[in-house]
Amino acid sequence: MKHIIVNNYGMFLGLKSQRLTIKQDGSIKNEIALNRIKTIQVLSRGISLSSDLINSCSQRGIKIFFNTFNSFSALHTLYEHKSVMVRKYQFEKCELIEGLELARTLIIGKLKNQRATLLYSSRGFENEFKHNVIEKFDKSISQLKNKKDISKDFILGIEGVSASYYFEYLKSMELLPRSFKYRTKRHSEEITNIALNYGYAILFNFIYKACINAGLEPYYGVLHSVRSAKPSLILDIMEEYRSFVVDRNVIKLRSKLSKTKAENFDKIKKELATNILKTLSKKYKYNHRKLTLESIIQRQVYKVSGYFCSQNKYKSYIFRW
Amino acid sequence: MIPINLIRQYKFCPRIVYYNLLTNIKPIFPRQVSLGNEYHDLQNEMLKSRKFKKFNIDFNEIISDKYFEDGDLNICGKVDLAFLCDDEIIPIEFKHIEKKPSYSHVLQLVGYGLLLEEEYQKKFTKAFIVYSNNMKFHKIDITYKHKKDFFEIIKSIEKIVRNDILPNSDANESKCIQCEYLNFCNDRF
Ligand code: SF4
Repeated sequence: MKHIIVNNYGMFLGLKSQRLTIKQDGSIKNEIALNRIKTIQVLSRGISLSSDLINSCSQRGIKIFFNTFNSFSALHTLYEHKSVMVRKYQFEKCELIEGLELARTLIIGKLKNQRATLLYSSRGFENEFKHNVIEKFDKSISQLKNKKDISKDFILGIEGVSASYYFEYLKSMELLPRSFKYRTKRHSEEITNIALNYGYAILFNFIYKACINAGLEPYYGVLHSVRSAKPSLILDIMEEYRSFVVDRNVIKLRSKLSKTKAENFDKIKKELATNILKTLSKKYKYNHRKLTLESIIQRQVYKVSGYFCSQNKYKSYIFRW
Repeated sequence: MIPINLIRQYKFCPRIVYYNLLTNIKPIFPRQVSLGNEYHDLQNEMLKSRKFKKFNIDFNEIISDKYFEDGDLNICGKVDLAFLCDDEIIPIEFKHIEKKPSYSHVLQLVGYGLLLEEEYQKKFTKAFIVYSNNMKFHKIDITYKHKKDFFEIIKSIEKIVRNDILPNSDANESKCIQCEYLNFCNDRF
């Protein structure tokens, strides 16, 4: 099963006997059977799609995503709206202590995975700085674990402080390009931030898809503020995976990124997207089985919906470094 | 009411039942499914000219392609064919492949038999599965265990409907790869 990424201006995506055809300048570049496709991600402007293709994709559950730096949209069938009960329980639980407990678990998972990324990326060297940062992470994790009267502010406070240690460490150890000074979420003109934001946009698509498949309401979360137009549940769930799926791949590309000007990011984005998709399609251990990371994420999101419905506990997926 | 054809689907994977009953997803079925349906239609057409001597059953009436439902049993379905005899009813199903019928196929037939049993108040102890154009068939003697297993599956399906939450599935890769809901599950391998 494949994720198709298209990012060349002027491409045309059509349908021919239940096969996706990709054309450029009038000639067919590729043909793929629809029953082998998971998603189509349109990551550039100026790409056209046929309505027959869109219709067939929606019936087959192939979601089509459109991402540019400042917009996001997805096409999927209205039919696949799943359980109303899941949404009902989600709305109820998000307002109760269960919602806060889920937020706590997600951020503990995030910190553990950030810690693993730091250890993995700097496995060659030992120094006091590394030691201190890891200690700080351990302290934050145990503070979060042991806090009795947990609140959103407390969780966000710890998360924010840890994020600043994390990026400070990556910067100081030169695990990111020198141009990186601090983390900017939007409209950045610095190449590392552009790469991170681009990678998170791809991850966002996967989490969005997993939430829709699990019947969850993407705009009603447990930690990020709930307001219209903010997909807070997606942002909450993404926390666990950002460092493993995106940051590690940006770290791996640091020397290429260092040599590329921000305005030429287009030259490198295909490689970054391909690496992220490779990470998502690689198999990892999960409950005594090996599953692709994408399937693991989907199972974890099913567990979130099970948690809202009081069917199971939720445990973060922790990556081994 | 639970359509009896979901019994086989449930045995294949409980999630299919969920998708069928609780979402509006309209899957695109592969070619084999439409071949199966064509076979079914063809059989029903040919039925009109059949004498059914091969079965050696002394029937009074033939019921063909008729829909039944029963509120108490909470099941419904279209019976392919059935012999209505003096003291019993015998349901018949058509299959377009020759190999021995699977247990889930048999249980599905049990469902049709139970519907007929209720409707006509006659006993139901045997059924046939016809698998070729020249009326080759398997005869199945229906036991207490068949009926018990059938009702257990109905109970499980009722539970899926009551919970209204996607159930777990232990379907393996070879099942999922041919399943039209694979993209909607998205957690298989
Ligand atoms: S893809 Fe697999 S788990 Fe999902 S419904 Fe089909 S058989 Fe069941």
